[in-house]
Amino acid sequence: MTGVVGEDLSGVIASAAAGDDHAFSRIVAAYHDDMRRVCAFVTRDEALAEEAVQAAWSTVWHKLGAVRQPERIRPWLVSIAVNQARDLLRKGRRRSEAELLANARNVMAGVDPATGIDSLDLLAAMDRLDPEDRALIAMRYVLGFDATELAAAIGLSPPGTRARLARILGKLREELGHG
Amino acid sequence: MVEWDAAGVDAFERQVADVARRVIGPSRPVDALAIAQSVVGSASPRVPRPRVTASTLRPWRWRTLLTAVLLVALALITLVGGLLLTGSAPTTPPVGDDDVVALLPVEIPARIPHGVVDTPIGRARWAFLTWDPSNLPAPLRSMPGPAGLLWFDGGGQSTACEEPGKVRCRARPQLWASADAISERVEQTLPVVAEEAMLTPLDGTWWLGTYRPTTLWRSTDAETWEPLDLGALISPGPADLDWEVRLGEPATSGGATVVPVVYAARDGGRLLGRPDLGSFVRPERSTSGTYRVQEDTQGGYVDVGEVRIEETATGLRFSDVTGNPIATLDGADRDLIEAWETTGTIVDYNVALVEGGAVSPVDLPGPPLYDHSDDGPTLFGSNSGFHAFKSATDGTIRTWRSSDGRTWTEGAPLGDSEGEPRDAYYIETRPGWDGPAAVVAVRMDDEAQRSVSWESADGVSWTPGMDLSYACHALRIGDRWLCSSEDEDWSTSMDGESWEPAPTLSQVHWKGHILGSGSLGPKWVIGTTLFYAVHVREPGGGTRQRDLWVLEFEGGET
Repeated sequence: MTGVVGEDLSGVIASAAAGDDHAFSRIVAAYHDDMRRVCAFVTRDEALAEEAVQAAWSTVWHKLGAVRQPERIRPWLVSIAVNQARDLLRKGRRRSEAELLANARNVMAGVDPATGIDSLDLLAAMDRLDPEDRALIAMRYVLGFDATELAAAIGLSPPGTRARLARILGKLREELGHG
Repeated sequence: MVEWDAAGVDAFERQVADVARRVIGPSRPVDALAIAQSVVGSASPRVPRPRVTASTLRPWRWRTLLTAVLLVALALITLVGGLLLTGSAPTTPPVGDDDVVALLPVEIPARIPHGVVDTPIGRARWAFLTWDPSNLPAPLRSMPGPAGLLWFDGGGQSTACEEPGKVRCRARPQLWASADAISERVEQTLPVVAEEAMLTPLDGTWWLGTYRPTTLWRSTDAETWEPLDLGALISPGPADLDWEVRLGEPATSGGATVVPVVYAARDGGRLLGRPDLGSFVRPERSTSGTYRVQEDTQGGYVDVGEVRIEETATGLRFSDVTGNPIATLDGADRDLIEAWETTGTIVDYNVALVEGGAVSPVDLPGPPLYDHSDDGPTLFGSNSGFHAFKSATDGTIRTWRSSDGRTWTEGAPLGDSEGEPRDAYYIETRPGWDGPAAVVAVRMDDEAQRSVSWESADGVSWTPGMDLSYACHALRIGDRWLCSSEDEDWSTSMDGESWEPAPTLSQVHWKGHILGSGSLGPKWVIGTTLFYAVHVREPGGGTRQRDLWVLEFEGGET
């Protein structure tokens, strides 16, 4: 699992909370990219994602002292970043669908033989999901969060999280005609 | 980084993961020290943030206690005077459906799975109704009717159908009546054929609002419908636009009835030089100061042109990039354009007061309600009058009050202060302990990072509830209480104050659920009978409420 490898996580968090910017930088080093990647999928805009994560770190810096479950810090951090990204999107700073598709340079068009679905169609369908749902997709399928981590990140119980993920996938399947 | 474990994942999920990873791209190196120093250097001194407390939290919000650990944790929180403190016991039952008592007949046919279960609040008979077009046609949502039950489906949903050449059909609004929960239903003729409809019982009157066409009807027997004249419903927005009207859920207070109204322009394309696109178009500001014209293809926006939009003394002027005029729109300003760009639609709102056989529009005071959603205001009728709520673009919730539904005053927005909801996903009303409660679901931005519902019985004082996933959605069963969480853990209470788990209910329910092989749907109570719809996956994709779990408790007066 991503983390502050080889160190006492509680100790690092406590040091950072006490004002040790080197300890804080270890936390940043361990989790910044996870946060950025999820935000990049939520916003589909690298600059916006970086802005969201930067804002998230400011929030984190002020709240580190409130962390009571160090083992949950990763979903906690990601959820703060997602909230920042969602706020930026809500303020109207979202890209058009055309821009989103134009930015999909890493996604190759083409039908997946196993599903019969064109990857660009799938991406377009995912772009139409709510930001919260896109965040859940990214946390699950990009960061590899398990149900417990997802639950900690989105504020649902693990069964509720599984149900919500299933609903999102069902929505995508339905939209894409994948029975 | 943890690699995603593909075990137990189907091809579709693998493709989802693959596409998500590709679009995000690879990991990047991080200059962590620079980021950390930037944050620390620019940060203001850490100041402990006051916690939101809930000293008036009602005890039933405690009920879904998943494990003994959670019970202990919550007890500890209470002991240290932390987040959640219990309040007084409910004194008045919620607005109920008290006229119907026995909804399961004494003899239940053998073909319907049924049985008896003992619970902490008494014995209950249950039946599981699996969808069968001959005896249990959709819809499944029931409400008390003049002679038993009414079952209403608002339509609009895409569902599997048998029409030649069609895989998916839109369900049409339907109304059925039956003597009890399992007897054959008889379809009632609705007064109009519409795409969608909403049926709301309020103080002995059923209100039927339809969409496409937009109509409003009322009835005291759910058979004979009186039409309401909607001719006076005129959008408060620019008069030159072609507005389509949509009605929301009505509310009643002091004998008056008010309906929220949403107006959506059908001809936005005309303003942008593309009248053929109707409402499926929006402007998007470009870096050069002009606006790109974007067609909503229902599969995404496609750039189809460019226009200039300028403010004039009377409104807005639209022209092409060479300056040739396209259209003007008096009575509008940049706010309309910004809202149109954000939402993809031109919408405006007000409310309407029912007076005699007609409805009269009543403007909510203050600036236009353009915002990021196309939901109308949510109305809430309390003992002291009406309240209206509407999310604003900055995350606050605008509020209005009226004692008679005719004269409204705008109050301070919610969400500017601690202890108030903001960033609402949705605003709704539902039965509370002391009558209707306005409910706002929000995601808190503090360290809790959880979805939380807020409630108000008077539209003024707000109480934060628990995490929605753990929240008890209390159901009054006669003079007892029943709650279930999203996780389907059931609790019961004899007094609404002390709660205990009711595992036998979960067992019975899951028996039914296995039979239904679907997902969970809404639940509601009529008298002493609990109804629990089960969504069933359809062959053509999607789900539909087609199974129903009915649980009728013995004894107790409603």
